[in-house]
Amino acid sequence: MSDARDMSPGVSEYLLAFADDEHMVGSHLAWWIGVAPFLEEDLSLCSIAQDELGHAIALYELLTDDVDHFALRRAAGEYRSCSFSEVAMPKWEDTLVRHWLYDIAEDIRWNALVDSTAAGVPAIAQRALSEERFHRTHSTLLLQRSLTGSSDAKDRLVAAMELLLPQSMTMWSPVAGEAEAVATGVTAMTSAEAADRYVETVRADLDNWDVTVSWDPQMAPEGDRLLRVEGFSDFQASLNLVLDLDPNAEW
Amino acid sequence: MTPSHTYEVFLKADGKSEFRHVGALGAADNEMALMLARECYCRRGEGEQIWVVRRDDIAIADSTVTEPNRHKGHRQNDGKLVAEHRRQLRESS
Repeated sequence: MSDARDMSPGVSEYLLAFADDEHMVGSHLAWWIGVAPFLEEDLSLCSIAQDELGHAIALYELLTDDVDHFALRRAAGEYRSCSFSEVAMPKWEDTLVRHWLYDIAEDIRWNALVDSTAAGVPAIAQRALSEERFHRTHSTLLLQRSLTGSSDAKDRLVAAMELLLPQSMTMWSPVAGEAEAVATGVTAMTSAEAADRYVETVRADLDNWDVTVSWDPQMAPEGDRLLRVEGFSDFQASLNLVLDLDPNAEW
Repeated sequence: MTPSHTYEVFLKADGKSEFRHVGALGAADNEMALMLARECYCRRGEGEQIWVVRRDDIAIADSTVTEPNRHKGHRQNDGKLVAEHRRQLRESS
């Protein structure tokens, strides 16, 4: 097993892509504290957000000694998050659908890392999977019950699914370092293989809920992770609001 | 979503302690209530086990039932009344 700090640039980039996705989704979920549709969800989503941010930190710590600076103050072009994780979703139905889809993908991605040859990664993956089980439960229970509510609720959720399912495939946009990560056993699965499993799991949930959506899964375009979505700089600035008050403060 | 019910939440901290009431929440059903209780009341590992009970299923006795028993000092078993009675007897003998 290699020393984490001796990782090649390719392997580092592969893990960075996952860490940045976790960071983006965790930060967006945390935005809902105080404004979710009901109080219990304020707390639940924020609790889940903290888990996702914890996963990001665990991976960042393999890559850098200064996690805060690395997570928050990199140049936009140095992030490797996908557009699906970066985009702001101020509509509750969009957030709920992303929560469901992201956690399906996350489960697949962590499972591909449990036997990783990269030092420290298997333990992080095991810990994350023990939490992901509850994230999946949360998203599916809430979505399932919301779909069986009013016809308006179902229409809005199905519309959100049809909007977000194509975009969700950007989670499987590979970084250049993926080939090396697969070849060296850092991950057990290519993004293309993971995407197949993802589509299968999503369809199983939809069948289980008796929901029909118009969706023809396409592989993500190459290079999605090299580009930032519109609004990224404002979002990144919002994440830095407190740190900017005193960049040299010790927390 | 299906109508919400109010649930009372109880946590059991470790092997020997009893379940204690920690709060309430709204949820559509038992499964949702347990999941929300985990995130709202147990996210720092405050409990080892969780109970959720629908408030509607709790049998309630109000103060008209309990009030008469608030004035039965003779049922206090801390011995103070007996000790005071004996002290007075000693002093008057």
